[in-house]
Amino acid sequence: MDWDCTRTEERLSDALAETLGSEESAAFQAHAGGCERCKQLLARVGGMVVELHELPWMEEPPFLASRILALTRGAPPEHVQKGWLAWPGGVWQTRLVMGLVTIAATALIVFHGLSAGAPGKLQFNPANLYHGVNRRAHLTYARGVKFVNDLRVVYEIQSRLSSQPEPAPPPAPEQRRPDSDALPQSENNTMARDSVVLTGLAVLMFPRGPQNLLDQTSRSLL
Amino acid sequence: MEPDAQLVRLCIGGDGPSWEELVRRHTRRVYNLCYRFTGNSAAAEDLSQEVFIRVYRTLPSYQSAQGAFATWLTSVTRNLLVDHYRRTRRDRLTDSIDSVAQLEQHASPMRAPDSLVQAKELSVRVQQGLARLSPELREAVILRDLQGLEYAEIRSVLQVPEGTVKSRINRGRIELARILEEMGLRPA
Repeated sequence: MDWDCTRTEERLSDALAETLGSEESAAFQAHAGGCERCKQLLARVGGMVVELHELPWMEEPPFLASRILALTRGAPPEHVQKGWLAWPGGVWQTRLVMGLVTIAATALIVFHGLSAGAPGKLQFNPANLYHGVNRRAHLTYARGVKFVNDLRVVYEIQSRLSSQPEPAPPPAPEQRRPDSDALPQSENNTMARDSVVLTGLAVLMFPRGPQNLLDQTSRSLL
Repeated sequence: MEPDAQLVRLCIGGDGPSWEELVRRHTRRVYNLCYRFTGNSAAAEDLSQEVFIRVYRTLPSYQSAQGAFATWLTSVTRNLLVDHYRRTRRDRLTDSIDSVAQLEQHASPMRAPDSLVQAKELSVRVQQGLARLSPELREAVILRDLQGLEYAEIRSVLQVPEGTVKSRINRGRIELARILEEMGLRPA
């Protein structure tokens, strides 16, 4: 078998590991015995490989393993979700949900407390933000007060009407008249009471309606 | 079943101490691989953390039938190193001088025994020599001669035929020996 310096380079690792076949090994020995270049190459690379194998591993920085454990925290996830349903698992983390809630609350406060127009640069001015939120809070409070007052008026009227004594039954009518005044007194009272309650409800439903409508009605009845 | 595979099985079942054991057992291997490839201890530290985070996320995908855990871990590390190499290609052109200076600072520890000093000196020189090899040859030499992997394992990590692995190791060794000789380092 022919053996040359190029072949020594190609099979150097096998020669160093002594894994050449018997025929190859004999050819290699025959060539290397007479070739100074191959002999030097073998000695140089062989010595270096021995030194590399004996080179101790470098020590890792202190606390590297602890840092890794702190980053990973506990055991790895037990199941790996696959397919198109896999993504929400990574998205719906507590931090993200809390962040979304915070953003939504902030947006609600900011934009609901400001004017209804498109948000401009001025609306994000802290002074304007404060003014808007303050105004919104006062309006809400005023509406609440008005609602409670209206309720109080309606209940007051109801209680007064219910405390009135029932009138005596009227005498039998001699002749029936076609107009509405001919209705019996008790029926008339019931209708009036219902109209007051309905008016009160209308006022509650439409708080900006005429307030004096309720006052006039209640005064005429009482 | 090899001990690492057993640990992995326990980890996937939710056993925290097994994960801790796995991390402590392989941190040095991963750190050394990262350091030998990058030549920078800070980068090696960051990359080691990244490796274990990735392993943490993908551990259920490890199949013990496909090979040893250490080989799989080396594959994960190597893939991250390749990503890192591509990402930092531009930076390396500008700060190669700084990294050499940093290596030389590591080479002179105070009050260390002679043998330790020699070992560290050799380690630094080898690192400088490795830095001058092409990435392909460098990773082959590191995996074979510094990490002690078998040819079949290296083939699995690099995803190339065994003949290519042998050829790269051969050329890498010859090239590294030549570089070390140029640097004045001769084998004992």
